This record gives sequence, C-alpha cells and structure tokens, in this order.
Amino acid sequence: MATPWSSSTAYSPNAVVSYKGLDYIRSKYPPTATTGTAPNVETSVDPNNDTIRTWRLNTPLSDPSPLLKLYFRTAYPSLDSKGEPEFAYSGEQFLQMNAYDYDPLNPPEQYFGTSSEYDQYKNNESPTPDSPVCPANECGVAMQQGGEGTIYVTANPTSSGKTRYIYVTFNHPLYFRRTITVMTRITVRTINKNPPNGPPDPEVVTEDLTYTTYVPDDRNYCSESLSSDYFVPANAAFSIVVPNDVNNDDVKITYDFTGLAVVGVSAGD
Amino acid sequence: MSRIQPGSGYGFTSGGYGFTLNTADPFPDDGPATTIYLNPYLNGDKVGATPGTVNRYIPKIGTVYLDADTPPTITIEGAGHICVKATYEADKFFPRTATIVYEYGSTPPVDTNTESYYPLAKVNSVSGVYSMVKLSSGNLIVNRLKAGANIATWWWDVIQ
Repeated sequence: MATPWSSSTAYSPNAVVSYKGLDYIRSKYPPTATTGTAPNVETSVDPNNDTIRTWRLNTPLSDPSPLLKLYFRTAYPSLDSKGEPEFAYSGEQFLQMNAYDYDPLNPPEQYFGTSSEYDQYKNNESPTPDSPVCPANECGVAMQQGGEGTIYVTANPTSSGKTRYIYVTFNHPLYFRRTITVMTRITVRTINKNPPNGPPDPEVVTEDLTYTTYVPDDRNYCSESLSSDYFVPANAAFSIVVPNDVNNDDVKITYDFTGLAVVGVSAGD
Repeated sequence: MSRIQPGSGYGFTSGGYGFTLNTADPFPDDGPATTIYLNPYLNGDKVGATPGTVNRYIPKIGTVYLDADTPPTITIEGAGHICVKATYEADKFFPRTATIVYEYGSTPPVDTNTESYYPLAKVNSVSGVYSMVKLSSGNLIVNRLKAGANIATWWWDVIQ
C-alpha cells in the first residue's frame, strides 16, 4: 500500500503515494523535488512546454507487456529486373509517444501508444513532397499480430430490455477489414387459443433466423483478457430487438432470444 | 517518558522548540486502489467516467481532470455514446489531448486524421429516462498510423 501523500513532504520522480483513494506515481516533470501541491492538482510542463500532470495514476497494469505485440508491416516496393527495389523507401517519420515515456537518452523498448507517419514510397529521400510516389494501393501499411495463433471469431450477446447487443470478438486485427455474418435466432412459440372448432391448438414452435452482416472498423479494435490470455481483438456491437409477446383472446405468442453464431467471414485481404 | 504515536494522516514534526502535530488530513482514504481505470457511468442525466489513463494521461471532461476533487460530469439531453476522444497534433506528444465526451446519435463519430473516438458506453433514452449499456472499460492505449496520403488509422487497446 502506498504511503499517503503529505503536504509537507518533498517528492522526487518515481515516488509513489496514495491520495483520496487513488495511487499516484511522480513523473519526471519537473525533475526536481516538489512539495505542497496535491497529486491531483500539481502540474508541470513537458519538453514541448505544454502543461502536463506532475503525477500520473499508478494504474495496476501500467506496463503493456501482457499484450500481444502489434507491429506494422509495410508493403515494400516491388523489385525490378535486377532484383532491386523500384523505389527507395523513405521509412518511418514523425514518431510520437506520450511525454511520460519520452526519454531520448533511454528510449523505452515498448512504447505506450504512439503516433507514427510514413511517407509513401518515393525515389527521393524525405522530405521532398513533390517526389513521385508509388500507386496508393502499393503504399498500404498492414497491421499484423505478433505471436499469432488460431484465428478466432465469435459473438456474445448482452441484453437491455428487449434489445440484445451482439458483440463480435476476433483475435486478428485484419478482421476489421472483413464482413462478418452473424446469425441470430429467436424462438417463436404460438398457441391458437380459439380455433373455429375444438380445443386450443397445441403450441407451435418456430425458429426466426436473422442474418446480419457486420463490417467492423478499426475503432472496434481493442484488447481484452479472456482467462489468462490476452486477445487482440475486438468488440463490435450491433443490436437486434426481440418482439414483444402477444397474449389476447385469440392467440398467445412468445418470443425468446435463443442463440447466435458466426456463420460467415469474407475472405478480406 | 511519554511517546506520541500519530495516526494515519497526522504529520508529526519534532524540533528544538517542541513538536507540532499537523491534523489537516486525519485518517485519509489511503486504502489500496483497486479500481483505477476508466469506467463509464450514468447518474440521472449526467454521465462521466472514473479516473483512468489513456497512454498514461489522465483524461479531462472539458477542462477538468477526472480525478479532480469534484469529478466533472456531462449533462446530456438525448441518446448517444460516452466516448474517449484522442487528438493528434503535429510536433506534440501523443495524444495531444484525451477527453471524455458525449456524442449524440446512433453511432460514434468517424475517426479523422486528427481525432479518434473510442466508445465506452451507449446511452439510450426512452421518454426522457436514460439507461446505459457499457461497451468497454479499462485503461487505454491509443495508437495512430498514417501512411502517405491515406486517412490515418487509429486503434485502441484496453489493458485492464
């Protein structure tokens, strides 16, 4: 348990305190010890001279190492008759990371979220904006998953009243470029209470199947833990509404959501 | 010889002129933090999120950090999504800002080259009564990649 923060104590980088039920860790902004300002208020400036919180939350999982590692694979220029790339590749530019991880003398092995930009392939070194570039469809950057295992896609429902939200989960990032078809099943039980002749008819059970195509996008792309494994991929939700039951003098109809399954995934790329 | 044993939250300073006892923050809530992550909530017509991180940054609502003494909330007027919004700005650390926002409509806004929205919850409205369906919670990592003239791709990881 972290030591409670004290207004009379000077704290240096990497100090850990608790304050109002939250654990905080002292960042390197500023590098000198400070005192007197509560961790949820104190601010400093980052190397860009922008305001930054002096203390960051000491979250239970502050290291992304449990995640399956993601990386980018670039589509390199095609080779010419000599076996050499048709264009020089200018490579990655403009890598940004969060200020807390930034340390030019000791860069982290694994960034905690980044923004990176690539120029398209060109035959001059960057930055030369007017350089010829490859066709756009050869300049794509594909996300791939390190430690890739069996591709996995499934769907799970959760409910809110008569609405069922269907979550599509997959463990391969490229799945967000595919069309996933989910079959949902509503079981309909009908009893004709008042047939023209004789007693009520026996219950008739039918299955109402709906096929929904869903195209996840990159916003549906996240990681979640399942048992002890971390899956890379992702929740995409759509909803279906279970009809209201009917019960009158003539008929009784009940609708129950009874299942769903992923029945198709397009080939994608 | 008498001894003074200050309790949790009592600061004790001893010097040549005696001692002082600082009682400004007695018995603070210093228990282990067990739920430090972004978790959306709905309270009447107000929405918010518990304190957590996006790329180690603590998001704000408006100009107020989530862990402020008075947690900030958003007053809503219809159905929509509670989202985390990350922004990119050239020559700044990434993300430039991380905020909790409320976006009206049936779907969150589409990502652009400079903004991305990660939905934490969907809020429904029936006859002015709101209900919330949580879509996600946790501390987040956001990444952005832009290749050439293509639109930037954003993706998010949940680490808790």
